[in-house]
Amino acid sequence: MSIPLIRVHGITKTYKNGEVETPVLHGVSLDVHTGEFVSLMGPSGSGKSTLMHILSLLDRPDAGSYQLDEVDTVTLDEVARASLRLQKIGFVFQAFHLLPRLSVLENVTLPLLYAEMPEAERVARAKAVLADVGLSDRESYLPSQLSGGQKQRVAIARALVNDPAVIFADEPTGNLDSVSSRQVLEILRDLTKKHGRTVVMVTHEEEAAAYGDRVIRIRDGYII
Amino acid sequence: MAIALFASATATSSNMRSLDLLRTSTDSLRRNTSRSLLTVLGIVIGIGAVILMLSIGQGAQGYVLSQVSDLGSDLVFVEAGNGGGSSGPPSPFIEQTITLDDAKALEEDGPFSFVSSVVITTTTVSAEQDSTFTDIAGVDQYQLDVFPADVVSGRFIEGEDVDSHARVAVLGSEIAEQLFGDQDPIGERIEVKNLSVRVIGVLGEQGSKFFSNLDKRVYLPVTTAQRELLGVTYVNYISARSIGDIESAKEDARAILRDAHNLDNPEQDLAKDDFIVSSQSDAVAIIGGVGFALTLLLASIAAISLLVGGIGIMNIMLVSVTERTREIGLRKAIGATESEVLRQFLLEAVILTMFGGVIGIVGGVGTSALAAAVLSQFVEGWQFIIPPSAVIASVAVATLVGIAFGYYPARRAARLDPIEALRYE
Repeated sequence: MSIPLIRVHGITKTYKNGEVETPVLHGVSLDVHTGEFVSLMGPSGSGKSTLMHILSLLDRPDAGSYQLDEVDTVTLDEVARASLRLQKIGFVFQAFHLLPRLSVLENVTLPLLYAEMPEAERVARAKAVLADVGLSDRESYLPSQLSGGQKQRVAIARALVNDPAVIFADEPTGNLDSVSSRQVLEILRDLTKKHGRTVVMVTHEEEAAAYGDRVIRIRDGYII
Repeated sequence: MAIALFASATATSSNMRSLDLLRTSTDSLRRNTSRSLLTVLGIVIGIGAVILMLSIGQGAQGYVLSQVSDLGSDLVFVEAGNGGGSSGPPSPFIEQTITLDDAKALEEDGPFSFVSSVVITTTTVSAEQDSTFTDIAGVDQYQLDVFPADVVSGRFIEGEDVDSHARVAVLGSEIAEQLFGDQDPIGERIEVKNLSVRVIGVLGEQGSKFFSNLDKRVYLPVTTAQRELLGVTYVNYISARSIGDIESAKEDARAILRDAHNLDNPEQDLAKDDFIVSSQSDAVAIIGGVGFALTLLLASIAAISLLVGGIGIMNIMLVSVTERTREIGLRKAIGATESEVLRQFLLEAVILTMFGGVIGIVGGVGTSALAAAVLSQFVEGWQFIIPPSAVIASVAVATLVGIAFGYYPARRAARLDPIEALRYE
């Protein structure tokens, strides 16, 4: 089999709050291959969010190794990590995090601004991904004019627009009703099945996790 | 300027394109228009006040200079006083030591073409129709040679009038009009305090010099004014037109006066003299210095409001950073670097202050024009001046204020932890 897209070995993380040390991850190792849809499950406090933040380069482990697309991320400085997030990672959040004063199209083009892409190309790519998630008719809407499911589809479009190697979805259905949830999960599954993309999704719902090819369960900082 | 700054910073590293950065910053300002405008108000007032104060300061300086310049660079003044070369209009609070004999000595022994003595006072002048309080100048026949003016009717005071203490008067154009209206004043009698004199001439319009309106002056022979009106033997000042180098003429005048006043001052220490010899260029230099200090003072006071405006910018930018915590978190998560976030917020602050600066300049120039229009109603010869350096400096200062007061909030935005920022409610 080919080299895994994500190779994590022996990651530990401990939060210090004054004198109190709270160990969160105790030597986590996992691989994710290109084209996989992996669900990361665990109760709250299990360390799944911390693992997600480390995988998505928003946080650093105390020890252990992490290669993303054959790049050793542990030694990179913040600028290089920002650049890697820009090029290889797409984010989908539970709270959507669309900028309220920007239109749907502008929200989707946002990552491309930082990629120094000419405007015409930015707009063309944003329109293409908006079409992929079925929101071509909402380009000029403001986020406040959309339903929850539509907002999350805009967020998925934004995650896709920079053509990332992996999409991290953090409780993407946490704020959605069951119909919208299913829609969003189907889109994520189609991304892996039809377009060969890689998705890592954090969730605590069994039903959502079942959309993944593989479920990684985490409890008290250990993968079980 | 600021845009160029940011553009060059962008060119050196792999970063957001500067045009996109500019648009991102202006967009977020435009989407909060009313707050942006209120924030800018402090800068508008600050810059406007600086422009207004510089304009008034320069106007005052220009006015004062106009009162002492145009007299001719060959003009030497002698007045009573003591000190290392101070100058200015004659003061009533010093011992009057200059006499007609001094004028005579200067005329005979000094390198001067004309020497004219003046004694001045202010008193009531009345004719049949009207009575007024005005300036009286006791002068000799050389007055018009030193301070040229047209005699529009009759004649000016002559040597014979001075020698004989003649009870005659020459009127400035405005006082003639006020006392006699359309009537010809020549040959009419007027009362200067208790002294009855006959009008022998009227001068043409002269305007204002040395802060007094020459057109409202009544001229008497200097001897008449000294003996009949004031009961004194001094003159307030002697003015003379020098021949040759003015500095050596001043030295010659000092030597003559020391001799005439029996002063033993071989080391030529000006502080030991009981008179002051000065020229127009001395007065211009001193007034220029005073005017600069005045302008600096006014501008400094105005600059305080600019500082307050800058703090207002910082305050609002901090509020904005807090409000947009989640936006900043998102931007950082999707790949914005610290320096990109820093520049976005810094640029917002700079755009705000530059925008405020431009409005402030327009407003400041407008109010300066208004102020000059009002002032010129009261002060004849006041000019509306906007120093171009003030405008350039204002823009530069506004930009610097934006960078200085925008930096702290921008750095705070740039250093936000994206995980914390995205969780922020």
